[in-house]
Amino acid sequence: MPRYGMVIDLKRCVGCYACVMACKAENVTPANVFWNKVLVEEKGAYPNARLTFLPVLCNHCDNPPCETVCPTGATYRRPDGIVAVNQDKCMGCGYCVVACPYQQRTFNHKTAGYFPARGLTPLEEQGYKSHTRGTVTKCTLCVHRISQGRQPACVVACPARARIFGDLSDPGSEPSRLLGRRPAHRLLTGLNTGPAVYYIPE
Amino acid sequence: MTLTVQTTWGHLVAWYLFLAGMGAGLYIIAIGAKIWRGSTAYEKAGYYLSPALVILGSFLLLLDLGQPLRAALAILRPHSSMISVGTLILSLFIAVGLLQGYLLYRGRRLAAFWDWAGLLLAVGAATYTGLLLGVVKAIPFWNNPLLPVLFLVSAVSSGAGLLMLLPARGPLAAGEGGDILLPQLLRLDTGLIIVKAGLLATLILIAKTGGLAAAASAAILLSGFFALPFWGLVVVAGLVIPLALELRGQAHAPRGRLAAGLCLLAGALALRYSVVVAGVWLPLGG
Repeated sequence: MPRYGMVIDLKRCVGCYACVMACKAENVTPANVFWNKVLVEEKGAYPNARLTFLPVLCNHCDNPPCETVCPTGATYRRPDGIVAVNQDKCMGCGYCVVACPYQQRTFNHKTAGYFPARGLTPLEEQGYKSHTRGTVTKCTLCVHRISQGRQPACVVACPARARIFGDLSDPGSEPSRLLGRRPAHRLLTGLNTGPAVYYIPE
Repeated sequence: MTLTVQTTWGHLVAWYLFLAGMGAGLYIIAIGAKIWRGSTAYEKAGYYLSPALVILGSFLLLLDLGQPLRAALAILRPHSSMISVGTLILSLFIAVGLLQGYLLYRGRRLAAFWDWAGLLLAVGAATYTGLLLGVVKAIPFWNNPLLPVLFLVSAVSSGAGLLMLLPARGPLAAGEGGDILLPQLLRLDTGLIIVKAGLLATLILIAKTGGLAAAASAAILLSGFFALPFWGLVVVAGLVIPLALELRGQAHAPRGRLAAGLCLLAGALALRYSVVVAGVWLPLGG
């Protein structure tokens, strides 16, 4: 059984937001819902100030806190490590939203799109069908693409090749080889969530 | 280090925590008086009002759901999440309370066992409102074993406040022996307020000296956007005024009792709001 995960090389990330927009386009997430974000921070002080970028997405944890608190069983962990939400079971209590330490879950209020006065674009009309209003939504690791043998949209879109996706349980996979070569860390490991997203520091 | 305040849970959750806690706290005092003081003075308030308050609170929680019709799914999995456990406790408490209220209305009473069962469920329901937030590790200010204890004590205190507001006549009025129980109720509440103040101070102190996120939570309440309701309602109205009224004996007079009762309720509601709105997530990034 594969264990899907991702390595993000912060030395390569240029903060271009291509991953954010690729995710938006691929999954047609509702207005103001982002499954993939880039956190920007200012480090240092003038004249040596600079911006640092930290792309974040669902960590598809080994022990997902969101699954632990889900009262209906809508959130579940697949054998391949992908944490998924069954939109027909989610009752929209928001418990997982407050419980996810990575802040990667969004309550879908599903408003009228980005420009309510102009209605929905054909793409939105089609894409919004897969988002149930009043449920909680998050990154799926592009499971629909993975099942076709393709990479997640954010990975393909990255012009700097900062995002390396693959099977972490296979020592020969690209992310595994990279992790063997270079030191990497994961976010908030103190909570024992077992995240599957690794970061190579700048 | 970017710190984010949770905004997913707001008004409805705060009101639910307040109402369910108050209903459970009222039951604990009213039926506690029956069990340990042999007085049925407050039993009508306990049997009629407690389930009503918990039902109202649970209804608000349903309203807060994105898909309220699916709430039944949570009851079907009582072993899973803190919410499912709470749903079960609340449902059982409501069932026991409604049964007792109905029988009292028909002039009959259940065996003492049911009072004990209701009491245990009430303690469970009041504690659960704190556990719901307490198990969230991602928000350090909530993730404190003292929170369920504070919510339980505050729930009983708000129940006492509600009893102080009971009308002199009507179906909910204190029955025979109410005037004997009142001084005892006020003494009990004085103790509760002191414990409440100690727990709250400890909780804030732990947050202040904790990590970045917990300190940010404390700052929101002490000097940030929620400082006015926190100091004004939680501290002054919820602790200082009722304590002064009770210690100076003014709470024995009808007007003083009304003031103390109203202040206790305002303080309990503001406390729930304070905890909910000051939920700051652990910072991401490095």
